[in-house]
This record gives sequence, C-alpha cells and structure tokens, in this order.
Amino acid sequence: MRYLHSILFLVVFSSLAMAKGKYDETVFPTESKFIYDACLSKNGKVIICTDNTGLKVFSVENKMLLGNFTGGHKDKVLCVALSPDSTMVASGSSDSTVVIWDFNTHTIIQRITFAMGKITSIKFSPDNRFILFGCSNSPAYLYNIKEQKKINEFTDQQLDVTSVAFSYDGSLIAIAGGDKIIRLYNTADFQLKSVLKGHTDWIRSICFYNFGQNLISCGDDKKIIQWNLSKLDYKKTNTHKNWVLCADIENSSVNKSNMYVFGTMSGSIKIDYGFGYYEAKLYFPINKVLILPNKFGVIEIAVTTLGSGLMSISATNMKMAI
Amino acid sequence: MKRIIIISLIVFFRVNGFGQFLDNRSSFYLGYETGLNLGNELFNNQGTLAPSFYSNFNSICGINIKGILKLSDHISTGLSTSFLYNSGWSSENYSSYLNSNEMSFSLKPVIQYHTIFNNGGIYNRLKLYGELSPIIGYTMASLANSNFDVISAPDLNSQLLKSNNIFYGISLGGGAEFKLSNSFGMFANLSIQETFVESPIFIDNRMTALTLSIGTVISLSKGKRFNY
Amino acid sequence: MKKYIILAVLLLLLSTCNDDIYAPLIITGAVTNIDKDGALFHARITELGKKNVLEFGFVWDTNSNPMIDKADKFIFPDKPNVGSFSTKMSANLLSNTTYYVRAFIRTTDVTTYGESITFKSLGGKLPEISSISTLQGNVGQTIKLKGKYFSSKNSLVKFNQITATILSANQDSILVTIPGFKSRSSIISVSTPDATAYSKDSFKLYTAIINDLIPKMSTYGDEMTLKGKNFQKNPISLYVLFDTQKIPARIIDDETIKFTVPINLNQSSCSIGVIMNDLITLSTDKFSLTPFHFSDFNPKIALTGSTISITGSNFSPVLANNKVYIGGVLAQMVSGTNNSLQVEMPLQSTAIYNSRNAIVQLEIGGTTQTTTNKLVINDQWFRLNDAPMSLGSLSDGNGWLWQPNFNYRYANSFLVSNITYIGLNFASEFWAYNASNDSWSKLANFPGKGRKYAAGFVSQNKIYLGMGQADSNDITPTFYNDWWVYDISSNQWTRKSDFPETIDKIYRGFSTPDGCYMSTGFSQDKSLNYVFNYCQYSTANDSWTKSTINMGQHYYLSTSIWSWDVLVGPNNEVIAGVNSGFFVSDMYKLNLLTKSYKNMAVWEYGGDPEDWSSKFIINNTLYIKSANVSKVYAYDNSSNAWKTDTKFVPVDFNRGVSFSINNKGYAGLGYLNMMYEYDPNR
Repeated sequence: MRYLHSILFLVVFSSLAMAKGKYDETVFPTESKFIYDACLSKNGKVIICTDNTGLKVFSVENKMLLGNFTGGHKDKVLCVALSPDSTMVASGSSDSTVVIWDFNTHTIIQRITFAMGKITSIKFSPDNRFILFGCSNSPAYLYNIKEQKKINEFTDQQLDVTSVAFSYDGSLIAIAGGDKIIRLYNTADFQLKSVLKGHTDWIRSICFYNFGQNLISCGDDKKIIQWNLSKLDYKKTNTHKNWVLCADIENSSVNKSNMYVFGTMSGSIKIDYGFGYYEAKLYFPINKVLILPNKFGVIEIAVTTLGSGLMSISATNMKMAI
Repeated sequence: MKRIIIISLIVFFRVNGFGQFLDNRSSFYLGYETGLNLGNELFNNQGTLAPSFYSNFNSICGINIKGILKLSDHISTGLSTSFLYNSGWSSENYSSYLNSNEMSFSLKPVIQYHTIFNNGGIYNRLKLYGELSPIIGYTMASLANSNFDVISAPDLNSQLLKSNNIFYGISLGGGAEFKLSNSFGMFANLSIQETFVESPIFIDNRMTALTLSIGTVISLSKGKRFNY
Repeated sequence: MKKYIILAVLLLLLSTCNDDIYAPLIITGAVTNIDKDGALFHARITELGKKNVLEFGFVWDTNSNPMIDKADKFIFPDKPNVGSFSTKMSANLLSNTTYYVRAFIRTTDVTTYGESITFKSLGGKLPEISSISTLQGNVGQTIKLKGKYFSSKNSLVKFNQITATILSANQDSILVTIPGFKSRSSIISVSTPDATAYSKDSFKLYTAIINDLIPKMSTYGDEMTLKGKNFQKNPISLYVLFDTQKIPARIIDDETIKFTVPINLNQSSCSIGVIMNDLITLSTDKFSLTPFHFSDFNPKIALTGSTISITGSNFSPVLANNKVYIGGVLAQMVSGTNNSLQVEMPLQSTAIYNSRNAIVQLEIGGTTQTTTNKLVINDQWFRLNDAPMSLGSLSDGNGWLWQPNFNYRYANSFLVSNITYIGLNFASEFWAYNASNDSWSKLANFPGKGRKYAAGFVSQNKIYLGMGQADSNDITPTFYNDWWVYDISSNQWTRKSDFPETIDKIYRGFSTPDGCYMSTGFSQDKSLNYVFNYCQYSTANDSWTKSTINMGQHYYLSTSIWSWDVLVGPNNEVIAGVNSGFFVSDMYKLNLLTKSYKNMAVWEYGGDPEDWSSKFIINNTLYIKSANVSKVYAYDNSSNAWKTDTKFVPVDFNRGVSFSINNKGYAGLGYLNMMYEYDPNR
C-alpha cells in the first residue's frame, strides 16, 4: 500500500513535469499545441506553421503573429510550403485538399481537391510554377499552378508518401515514404532516375543539400542517411534513439562538414555540428526541425512538436556533448 | 483510498495528453477476470427443469489476455483469450453440484469500436470502446459427486464426474482504457457473454455470464500514421 | 495468423478426446404442475449409451432411491432420443404424501437412474378399468386388463374376492393369471392402496354341461360316456367325478367324453359329475354299480382264526372294498376274485363275536347282503363282551393306587338263580352278570374297604361276603374281619357280626347243601399231623363253629404251605388241593360231616392251586383251567383221572372269576376284563 502511494506520486509528478516543459518560454503562441509542419521564409525571419485547420505566420524574432490563414480546410492541416518568391503558400490537409493561398492577402487562390488520401507533404518547385504533394494513400502529384491541372501522378510508391522534395535546380524530384525507398525522377520526362534503398523502415523526411549533390533522409529505422547522388553511395548514421521524424541540414561551406539536426518521435533533438553535438529532450514527437539561418555564431532551430507547439530553441539552451 | 482518488483525478484533469501517438497500433492486455453467472437456480431445457450447473456457481475468477491491432481511427481488431475458473456452487434448494467446479478456456476474436484519443481533456488519456466477439471455448466440468446412479456398471459412475465440452457463443462488451504513459496503461472491461454448450451430465445447454476484466495494457507498436 | 489456426485445430482435437461414455444418461427434472389429479414428471435423456435402449421412464415411491423392481413404474412408449420427455402421472399418488421420483434408462447391460427428486403429492387419479382382453376363459389362463392409473407396484387384482397373481403391471395394463374363484362368473377389481375399480363386465369361467350319462348302471372297469357341452374348453382341468373321486376323462369332442368306472369305486350308487376350472357340474342321473350277489359261505362251522370262503358275483376288484362281517366282526381279507373271497376270522384275543351262531354279511359299496345260514363258531372258548369294569387305576380308600391288572385277580363270584354276582376286591364294586343275555348290571357297592382275598358263600339266596386282606407291602399284612350279607331283592348290604377270631390267614368260602363254610386250608398240628381247618357259619345265629379234619402225616409236610384252594364238586363234594412248594399238588375229597378224606388224582400240572383260575362243573364233570397254561383239565370221577384238553385256551385268566350255568362254563376278569364262555363239548 505504501509503495502504491509513492508510485502514484511519481506518476503524477512526471505527468505534471511533462505538462510544463523546460522550453516553455520559446513556444510560439499557436492555438494548438500539435503543430504538424512549418516552413521558413527565405530570409528566415518569418515562419509559417500549421495550426489546426489553418496556418499561422509568426515573426521568428519576437514570435508575434503576423498572419492567419483560415477557412481553407475542414480538417487539420498537415503540411505547409512557401513559394520561393514568397507570394504563395500551399497547405495540405487531412481533408485531402490542397489550398494555394495568396501570402499577402491571406486569400485562397486555388483549391486542389482531386487527391484521395491525406496530404502529407507539399513543396513548391524552385520556379514557382509547380507544386509537388504526396498523399497518405501512396501517390504523389505534380501540379501546374497556373494551368490548374495535374501534370503527373507518381504511382511507384507502395505505401504512404511522407516527404517530397525538389532539387535546387528543379531537375529532380525526390519522393519518399512508407515503402522505405526514395525515388528520384527527372522532372523533364518524369522517368525514374534512381532508386535509393537503404532505409529499413518508414522514411519520414528527405531534403536535398549541397545544391542537389546530396540528399539527407531519416526514418523509423532510427537512421539518418546522407546520400551522395553522383556516386550513389551513402553514409548511414545510427541515432540510437527513436523514430527520426525530421532532419534538416545546412549546405556545407568550404571544407566544412554539413551541420545537420534531427528530431525524433520521443522528443529528442540532436544537432551534429561536426565537432560535437547539442542535445535537447522535449517529451513530445518532433515533427519538423528547421535550422534558422543567419544566426551567426549561434545555432538556433525551430521545432514543431505534437504537444508542445512550435518552438525556437537556441543551442545554448541545449546540452552539449562530444 | 481517498488520496489515491484525489491524485488520480488530478492526473486526469491536469495533463495534456500525448494525443494521437498514444493510440498505438497494437496493444497487449493482461487482466484479472471475474464475474457472475446469470440464470436461474433451475435450468429449463425443453421443459425439463433441473438444477443449473453453470448458473449456480458463485465465484468466477481467471485471467484474460488480449491482443489488439488498430485498423483505423475507430476500429480495432484482435484476439482475446480467457482462462476462467468457476467454483462455489450453491443453491437454495438443491445440492446436486456442491463442491463441483469448472474450468474453461475461451478464444474470442474481437472487433472493437473505440474513441480516439483527443488532444486534451479526459479523452486525451481515456479511451472508451465497445466490443463484439464470437466465442469458442472448451469447458471442463468436474463434479464432486455423480448425480446418476449407474447400476451394473458402477465404475462408470466415476467417469460421469467429468465432462469436457466445446462451447461457443457471442460476447458483447465495453470498456475503458486509461493510458498512464506511452506504453503502459490500465483497462477495465465489462462484457456479457452467452454461450451454448451441450453435456450429457447436466441439464444446461447455455451459459450466460457477466464478466469484469481489470488489468494492464501494454502498448507494443506505434502506428506509422500516428501524426496524421 | 498461423498460430491461431493451429490452436483452433488443437481445440477441435481436444473436444473429440472427451471420455467415451458407455452408459445411457438421463436427468430427472423437477416435478411440476402438482395438483389433485397428479403431477407432471420431467426427464431429459442426454446420452443413449452404446447399446440399444430397452426402456426408459420413471420410478417413484415413498422410500428414497426407488428401484425398478420395487417401486411404481412408468415406461415411456416413445422412441428414446436425446431430448426432454414428460408425462402426467396420475396413478397411485396419495394426497399429502411425500414421494421420491427418479428417471431411469435401461440398456441391455446398464441401467442408469437420474437424481432422486422429492415432491409432495396432492393426489392422483383413481384407477379405471376400460377393457378386459377376454371375458371367458379358464383357470390359469392369462388375461390382460386395460385401463388407466393402475399402480405397477401396488395393484391388487381380485376375481370376486379371490386374489389373482399379477404377472406384470404398468400404468395402463395388468397381466394376470385367472385364479380358481370357484364361481361361474366374477367381477374383476383392480385396487390401489386408496381406491378400487370394478370391471363393468363379468368374467366367466368355462363350465361343462352334462346332458346324458350312458349307461346309468355299469360295473367296475366298464366304459361310460357323458354327453354334454364345453368339454374341450379346458381339457387339462377336466375330470369326471364319481361322487368326490376324480378320474381322468378321455375327451372325444366338445360334446362327448368317455371314461371308465373306477375299479376302486366303493359306492353302489353315486352322483356323476364333471369338474372343470374347479367348478363342478353334476349329472341329473345317478350312476349305479351293477349289484353284487352274496350266494354262500363255507364252511358253516369254523373255529376263529380259520379261513371262510364267500361265494357270489360282482365283488369289488379292490379286495379291501369287500367287507365280510362275521358275527359283527370284520374278517380279514386273504384273497379274492370278483366272485369269491377268502377271509380269515380274527382270533378272539382281538375281536368279540356277537354270537356263536354268527351272521355272515358281505358289504360292498355301502350295500350289505347276508345269507340265511349262520356260521357256527365252534371254539370251546367263546369270548363274551368285556366286563364293564374299567381297567384304570383305582384307589382303595386307603390311599393306595392299585395296578390295573390286580383289579380282577381276587374277584369273587357267586351264582344265584343263574345270575352271577361278582365282587371286586379293591374297588368296592358289586355287579350282577346274566349269562343268558351277556349283560351286566351294577349293584350297590360293597360297603367295606377294598381288599383282596375276600371270602364268602351263598346261602338261601343271600350272599355272604367279607374278611380278606388289605393289600400292602407290609411283612405282616392287615386282615379284615368284617362280615356282610347282601340281599339280592333289595340290593342292600347288611353288616353282620365280625368274624370272632383274629384273622391271620386267608379264608376261602364255599357252601354245600349241608351248610356254609370258610376254610383257611391246611396246617400242621402239634403232632405234625396235616390238618384241614374250617368253620361253619350259622345264618340264623350269625355265628361260627370251628372244626378240623386230620389228614395224617405226609412227606410233603412243610411249614411253608402257601397255596391251596377248595371247591365244591359236581356231586356237592368238597375238593381241596394244596401245593407245598416244589412238590406235586395234592388233591383230596373231603367229607365235612364225617371229617374224613379221600385222595384224589392230581392233574398233570404240578402248578399252584391258587392258580386254579377257572373251575367249571359241566355235565357233572369238573373242569379246571389253570392260569398261564393253555390247558383245561377234566376229572373223570369214575376213573379218578384227569384228561387234558388243549384246544385253544385263552391264557389270560390269572385268578379272576369262574362259574358254570346250564352246562357251560364262564370265566373272566383276572388280568383284563375279558369274559369267556367255555363249552367243552365243541
């Protein structure tokens, strides 16, 4: 009976502890604490995140609300992308629709409704003409915004598409998902250029870097793979943590290895900056990490969590390790 | 006791739960099962009334093991097994099966309809569900004394003290699951089951039982689609 | 997924490994719908077992654990199946009674009873008889009674008041054996402990009808015919009755039976009947045996113990049924045919013939015939009717119990006018015997004490009697000296003066035309002369005068003279005899007037004169028969010699009485109360 008291106390204490985190001050004032996706403006000053059925725009600096996109979706928004020219915002939702918004007026430009599954990831093409989005029922679509029509349907995926990406020059499209395979297509002819096999479980996030020469991917196999596309080889890193849901990587400067950050299902964030690590532990799944640019000397990341909202965390507040 | 209740209530209302990811793909339930046998003192089988074997057992206890796989937001399926022991046979007017007992093993493929874990509030941690399952099982009745008098083959009297039979039926239940952490929780399940059995040594051809199962839930795997 | 399939398969296999149950199983259900008409019994068969089910149902009783062979039983007519069965039980349920009921199911090798259920009955229905399988039959036949609410255990079936044997009984039918209820028709009743049902119809036994008897008269072994009806209905039980005798009949057809007159038929006429199913039908005609005829017998003169031949016709083939009576005595059958019989006349030691001229009768079948001729029984000794005195022990008043064979040994007899007056010694009875008609009449008892060796004589038609000796084991016996006289006409005893002298010896009395005398016999005087002592009585003076006769000296002189006797001979002479032990007896003729004597020849037997049990004077001849010797000695006066006659002599007279009337001698009493007539001329 005595032990029961102690156990309960511990349970309550930890629950309460979970409820109030260390990083509470860095939370952006979103309505929901379950932020599925976020994206940055080119200069890194503005961050757009999903918030329930709409989107919110915040100033990275002072976390002030800059804009609100509502009325576009019936169900929660799962992914968001900002056009390279910062004129459009695209959002994909659980309601299987994609909405293209005017970034400035916060109005709906287009609604794409032909998709069947949930829209799990969305990206603008570098030339602002297309959007590429992936669905939970496995296809991915390339859509011409101006012509308002579907250009191509990518159906090679066997399971959900979890992440899509355009290469820097827009010549390649990468699609990854539950079938553990990253497929690269030529945008010219939509032919499958290469197939990257290396993950042993769901791939959660992919990102081109080094101007299209490399690709970083992470997944439920707890691994981060940095692919060398020209050599078609890769470097696998075992994070020894939980499912790695997201990763972000800096383009390398000369003779400098790429700094990357990843976030896991259990709330671990690790920044590998080459000479060491910064680690942080939130207790909620990290859906997206974004390396905030232009922070000289200070590594700062934006993190979307399921349960703790959108945060920006400075590496100074993180634990250091070698 | 009071303290436990207060603390539990605090936990309930204070915590913003883990939300979706708590509703895992597969879970394993292990519980202690008890219940009561429903029915009258006498069982009526096509007009013949005789003391009921099953209805008059006062004590059911056993364990229940269940494995559940989440198919979609609201539907899960799985397999439940119970090992139950019936004892404490007593009847106001009869002593036919005094000191007898019965053991059963049953399998129930389960279809469960449940709520989704919400972002907040009680339903962040609490899941309510309803279950429907067919049952197939094996009952082993063990009598203390034979209610038959077999003349000219008295060694058969001892044979008639045991009867093993297959039973089948349907179970309808409901329950609640409360997650204490990502991988661990508690559950309580109430179900009513109606099964058919046929044995030559007693009159019953049906058993109706109300069972309560309380135990722990262990989450085994997380749903891949937990975040959408 | 694979794992679950394997598990399911294993489960299925497990279910088939259930214990193989060999016994049929039945569960007794609770009794419902209990009302005044009965109760509803339920059962459920859950297992039929390995062998064929013979029957299933319920047994119930007021005792716990009812069993099939002891309790009331109900058997379902249905085919046995796994399932529930019920029946409304109304038979043999008493109200306010607690019963135990259990279901049972029986195969060829096993019987299973379900649990025993108790219930309190509020009553049941009374039995009803709806039909009887046949209304006419024979004793011993089986009939089936059908109805409702019979008790399989407690039913009692009666035909009128006779209980029938129940072979089997259940709720609605009872199989019984017809009892012999000794009546032509009966009402059948079925009873349970609290009610009786009666049949509407009567049950009749087959009985025979007789129309004619052919012929009506016939003889032994002859064939006869009866005409009638129903003879073939129950042939095993059919007999012909001659009166009450059953004889088997040969059944020719339903209307004719033949039989033979039984050889052992012992009725000249009897009723003829037929018995069937224990019921008797009599013929209106009577049957008569062809009469027998008794023609003659031979020889006409015979001695007892000899064989007599009877001739005639139609005697019974069964010898014992031919009864020949000679003088009222049944003769012993020796041999015979249907027209001649040989019989043996029984000896007089075992039979008393009613006359020396005996009527010979033949009795067959209750009819008697006789011939005019009489059979002369030519034995010298002819037994008369026994004297009426009982042979039982008598007390003499002194407290002694006399042995029976002493009762008559010392009796006295006195002959007056052809009537013999006999007095007993130990009982004081006094009788008169009339030899002419062999009759006895009791007279006034002798008033004195019972005694032996009383002495007396007859004088002027009066009887004088007294003295004698009390019987005892004393060395010196007590002698009486009372003296009495009996008056025949008045049947009265009068006491006379006692004998004047002290008596220390036995006296014997006798009377001649000269007087009445008493004598003590022989003694020795001082000179050792042998002396005969006597005294004479004067009836007028009631006094005595002593005298003696000197006998002189004799070689046999001895002090121990203990046996002697005296009699009056045919010529009124006084004869005395003496035996002094081992010597031969001497006999003398004595002259009391002259006081002289003459020697007399002794008889052959040198026995004890006291044993001269019978003395007769017949045709002026003296005859003496001694006890214990089967001889009679006759004295020839002219030649002074004794002749011996050894024709059959009954040897029973040890002392007793003897007398002669009209040339015949009579003797009797002694050890037994037999009486004989002696005729030496035969």
